Amino acid sequence: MDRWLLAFAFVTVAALGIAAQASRTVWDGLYTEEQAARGEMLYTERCSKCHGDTLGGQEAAPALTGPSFYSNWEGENLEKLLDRIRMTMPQDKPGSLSRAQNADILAHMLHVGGFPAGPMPLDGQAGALSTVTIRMYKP
Amino acid sequence: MTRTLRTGKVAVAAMTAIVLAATAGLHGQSGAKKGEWPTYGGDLGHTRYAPLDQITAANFGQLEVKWRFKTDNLGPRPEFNLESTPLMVNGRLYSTAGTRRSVVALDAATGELIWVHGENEGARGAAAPRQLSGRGLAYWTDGKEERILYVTPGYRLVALDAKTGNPVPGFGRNGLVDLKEDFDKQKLDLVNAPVGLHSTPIVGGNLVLVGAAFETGANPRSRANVRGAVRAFDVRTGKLVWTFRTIPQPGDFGNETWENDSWAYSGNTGVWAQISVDEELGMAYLPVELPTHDYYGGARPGNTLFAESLVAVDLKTGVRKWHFQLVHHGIWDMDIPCAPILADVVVNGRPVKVVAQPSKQGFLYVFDRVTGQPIWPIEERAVPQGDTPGEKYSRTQPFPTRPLAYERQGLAVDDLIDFTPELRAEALKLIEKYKIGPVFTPPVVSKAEGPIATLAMSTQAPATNWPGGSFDPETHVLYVHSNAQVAQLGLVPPPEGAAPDVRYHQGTALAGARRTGGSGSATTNAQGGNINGIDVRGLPIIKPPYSKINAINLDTGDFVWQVPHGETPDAVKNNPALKGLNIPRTGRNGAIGTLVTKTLVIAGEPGYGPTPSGARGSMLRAYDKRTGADAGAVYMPAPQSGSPMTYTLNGKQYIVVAISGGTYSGELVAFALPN
Repeated sequence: MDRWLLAFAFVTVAALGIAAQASRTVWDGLYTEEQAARGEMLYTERCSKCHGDTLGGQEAAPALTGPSFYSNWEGENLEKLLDRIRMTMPQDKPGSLSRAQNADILAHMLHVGGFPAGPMPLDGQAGALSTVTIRMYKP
Repeated sequence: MTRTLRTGKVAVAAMTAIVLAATAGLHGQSGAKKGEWPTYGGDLGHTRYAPLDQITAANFGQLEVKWRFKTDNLGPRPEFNLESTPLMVNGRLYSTAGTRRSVVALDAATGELIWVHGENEGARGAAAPRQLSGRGLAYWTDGKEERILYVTPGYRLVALDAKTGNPVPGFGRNGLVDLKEDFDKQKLDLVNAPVGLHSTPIVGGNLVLVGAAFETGANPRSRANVRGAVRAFDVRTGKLVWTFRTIPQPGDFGNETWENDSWAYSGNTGVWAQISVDEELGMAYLPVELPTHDYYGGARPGNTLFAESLVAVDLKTGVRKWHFQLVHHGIWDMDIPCAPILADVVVNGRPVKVVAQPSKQGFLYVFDRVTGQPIWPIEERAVPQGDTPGEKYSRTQPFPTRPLAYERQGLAVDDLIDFTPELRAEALKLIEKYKIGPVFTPPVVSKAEGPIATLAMSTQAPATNWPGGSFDPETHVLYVHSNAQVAQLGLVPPPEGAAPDVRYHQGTALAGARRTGGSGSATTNAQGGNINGIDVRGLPIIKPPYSKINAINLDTGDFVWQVPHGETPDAVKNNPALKGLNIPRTGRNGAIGTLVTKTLVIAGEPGYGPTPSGARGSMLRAYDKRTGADAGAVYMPAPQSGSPMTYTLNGKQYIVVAISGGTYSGELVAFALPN
């Protein structure tokens, strides 16, 4: 193949890849079932005391699923939700969970929220989720 | 450990700028005076009224942000739930803020930081049942000295010099009183005892009054807990002056209402809401919460005074003058959530000093605040009885006859969603396995085959919560925000070993085997689709409005207007089941405080929602206070999380409101008209 054509093809594919990345939403299968199961165990241990066994919330802490929760996060990027969890939770020991653990908990939240699982686990590394948009309804 | 930060230059400039208030008794019951906002509620009667008139319906939409104060670095991490109503006195704005509940003094014209005080309470702070920045603080002056008083998350009362932010040496021990000590003869673990307070202290008659708050009570670990009590301290010395026991001990009035000696171990029954004071009458009004356990009273049979009672005490002595129990033997989480509002009105041609109490249950209870007599009859009526093993129900409950309930209560078929016949049919199908009924229909022991739970509005999901209402002393109209939301009141056995002497926790059988002390309420996915929840295709099971502002004339008990508050949420507006339908403004759920000025009622919309520009955020709304008509709105990047307040400085009227939520950390925002 012509060297220039190859370069063009490469750039095009890369650009398409970036475009695909930029338009990702929580509907794109961003976590694995296994990760969500790990997240559920962590959630039960560290989060459910305030947010409830089923993420339904209680007087002292809001629900982490359902239309009102997702209304409040509609259009935000998933990185911000992960950061919010990472910096402020659990309230009795904020910052005590690792990035990977927080990503597992977020996977559990997405699972309960009804968003599909996929082949790859949710990536908790800084910046990895900044191109994922939270959408209540499937785009 | 105290760290007080200040810059010398600013502090000196500020010291020279202080103009002291002429009298100590400047906060009466008729709104905020002199263009200031010297107490949490604007005055000691919590009217949240200021007779300011620069900002009107004609110019509200032109408001612009004059300054912002970000609170992120006041603690070790940002806070996302800033609930404060700041104070403004002598050109300075004071507020609690940040994850450690620091206190800041700002220049009220520019937002510039003058001083900050914070307490790092270590393990004690981490163990606190009521964390974060709290609802604000109190101000006191004798005309010479000025003090700021607040309660830390770890439950210590702190007095600061308002000029410098330094603790006042002559108050308690180096400016602090440990509220876990000398607490109604209880021996408490100073670090771990689960008691604190997130409301503000209130100062009246040179006393500072402090209540108590606990972990939320749906799923107690034991039938026993710390007892709530209200205490008054000398504002100069921090010395304890009186204690009012909310759980009467042997020999006290009302002790016999705690059957089976349940007074001996039961706890809670604190005053976590704002206390109101009438300095002229020398009375304080205490809004009391439930005893231990919000939904099951088997371990505390009887009417259990002074649970869910409004109690009037002598301000100087703490001696009870009168009380009225709003709910007998409460099992609905109807603790009194907000400040009693003190109002001087004219009923049937007779001037009368009243106290009006908004509530979670959507009743507004109105009493002569001197005698405790209801202004309009409150009738004891028979209420539904339940069959939960071990429970002993009250056969009757008090029903105000006027005003009528300002929010829907319980649940009836008529309340169900009716946008389309299909949605109504789905709702009817959904409730088949639930118990529904009028207000005071009791919770049920949850069974998967039904009843799964009692469904009810204006209980745990309250009509009115902690922000309370407002009152206009000129027109005698009271304003209060309310929500219509359905809670599931089900009982399930606690998780194995979690609470050995507690028979039930709140939850439902659908949530599966219980694993923790957390709530087991059924829930829904992002669109409201059923995991096992009670939404109908992502829509609330009830018809709108989901929230409104109510205007009630306290001379007559009549409604003046009621309007939905908050633009229709995206979850409703964009719901596929409603495609093609024209849905009028529904309002949105939230805990919302109101502000009343000369012409307007002002309140932020609850939560994030659609904004005119499409930007993510929420609107600060104004209504014509006479009619409820829209009178303008201004954009905020996050919803109101504290209640708005207003003041005038150098000829300019400001509105300051605490905003936060979702990704937006706590911020005070000051609005004013363009120069």
